Amino acid sequence: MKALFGVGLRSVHFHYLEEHRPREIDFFEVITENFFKTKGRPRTLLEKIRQDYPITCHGVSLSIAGNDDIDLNYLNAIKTFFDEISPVGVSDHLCFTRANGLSVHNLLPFPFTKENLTNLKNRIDYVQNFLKRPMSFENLSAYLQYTDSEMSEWEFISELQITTGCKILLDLNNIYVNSFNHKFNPELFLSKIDFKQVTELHVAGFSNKETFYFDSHSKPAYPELFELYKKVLNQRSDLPVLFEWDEDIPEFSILEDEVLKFKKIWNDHGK
Amino acid sequence: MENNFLESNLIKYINLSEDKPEILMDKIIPAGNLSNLEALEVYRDDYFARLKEAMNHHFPKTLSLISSEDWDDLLIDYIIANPSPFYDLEDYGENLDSFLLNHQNNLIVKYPFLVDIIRFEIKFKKLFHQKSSLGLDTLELQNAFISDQEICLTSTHFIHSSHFPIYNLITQNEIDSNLEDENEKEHILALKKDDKIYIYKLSRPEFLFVNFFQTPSKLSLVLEELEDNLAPQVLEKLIRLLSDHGAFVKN
Repeated sequence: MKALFGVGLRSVHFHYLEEHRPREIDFFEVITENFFKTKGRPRTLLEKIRQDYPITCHGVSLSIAGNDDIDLNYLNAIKTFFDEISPVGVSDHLCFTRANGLSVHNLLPFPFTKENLTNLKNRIDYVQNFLKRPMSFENLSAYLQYTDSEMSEWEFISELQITTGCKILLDLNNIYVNSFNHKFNPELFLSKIDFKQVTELHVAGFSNKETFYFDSHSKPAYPELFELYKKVLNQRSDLPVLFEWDEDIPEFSILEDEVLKFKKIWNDHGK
Repeated sequence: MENNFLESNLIKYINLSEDKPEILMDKIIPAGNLSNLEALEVYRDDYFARLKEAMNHHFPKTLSLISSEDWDDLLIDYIIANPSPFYDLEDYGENLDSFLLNHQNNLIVKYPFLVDIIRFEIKFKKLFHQKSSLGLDTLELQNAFISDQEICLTSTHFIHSSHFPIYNLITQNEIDSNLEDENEKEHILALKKDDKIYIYKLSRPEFLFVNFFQTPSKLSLVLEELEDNLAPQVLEKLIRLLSDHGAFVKN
């Protein structure tokens, strides 16, 4: 079965995409919060793009692992947006972004505890019932862990899959960055994932800050990521792959080149 | 309970509501070769970088008209004083004008036009995200005038008045120019059509005419109020401009 390859729909490429329909791209991902309120040019372009490509929506503000009540106004707004543009998939992150009514617009890690598993299960159920659609949740890149954690990240995600049936958007770059930062074998992580419940892969480039790796989404993918992708292909070869580039975004053709690298790996795997 | 404590204190540390990392220090294991404090600072630095990037995006003209040091200092003060309650960054900075007036008098003295250009950019951003509307076409507008119906302007426009030459500032980055008469105001009309925004300078009578139609009004009554200040050919040109941009709707 063919895998689909996509990129993020970013404002720096609006002009290009108003005039071109890239052939190497199978789908586009939009950051939900960048599009859910606007009725201007970004929305107009999205309406045009979605006539020619499947769209996925990737959120950054649900704060599914948080303890603040989930805001009904926000949920209503994203539900309306999803209903209007009919994405083929919706996702957010396994993280918290808010506390006491304030946002940090960043994806913060939480302790991997049984208490948080229960909290997540309840909140995921609530959100999916409200939205009337399944959501996938992405593993995080984290620059700190908690002494309170009772299990590793992969054990937590595996438990989450078993106890909630939750769909996972697996970010290979985040696994690789975390494996360096928190000193574990990324293949061990992959070995604990139930790939039947994975809906999509994210790949990107990171920045080597010498004392740690930073998930900057500002570079081409490193060769190590290609190797991880090959490992995934041994488990499942039909997962959509989304290349993320969010800082120092280059011209669109360079994004296409990055996508082609992963397409080639997929093609070689099938031979 | 423990989660609430962690979340609350991490967010307070990141947005500088409270600068007490020691509460978190024995709760975290840092990434790579970072120290505990450096790991926390990764998140704080990223928070400030994201909000600054959003503000640079929302206020490109303001950014280009004042020194980068002054802009950076203003942003840091603003971000510390205004932790974000928002789910997205589109509305962040919406009170930058009042923040300046209340807290940054030195900057206003140095750049007297600053509050006005910020207000212009806040209006511009709102207009950018508005849906382009289909207002009355020329024939429909003529009929509305003939039958003396109330009409008003759609939300896809704004008007902006200033004691400073905002038009030149935004179109040519000309800081040095001043209005000749201190009592004089410059009036700007922004109209949106097909997702593009067009900026026009208006005379005072033209501005007054447009301003009447912020609320539903009859052309006959507006012309009476204007007391012949607007020459017929100027009025006709202005109405054509507004109708070409689909700016009028029936009440």
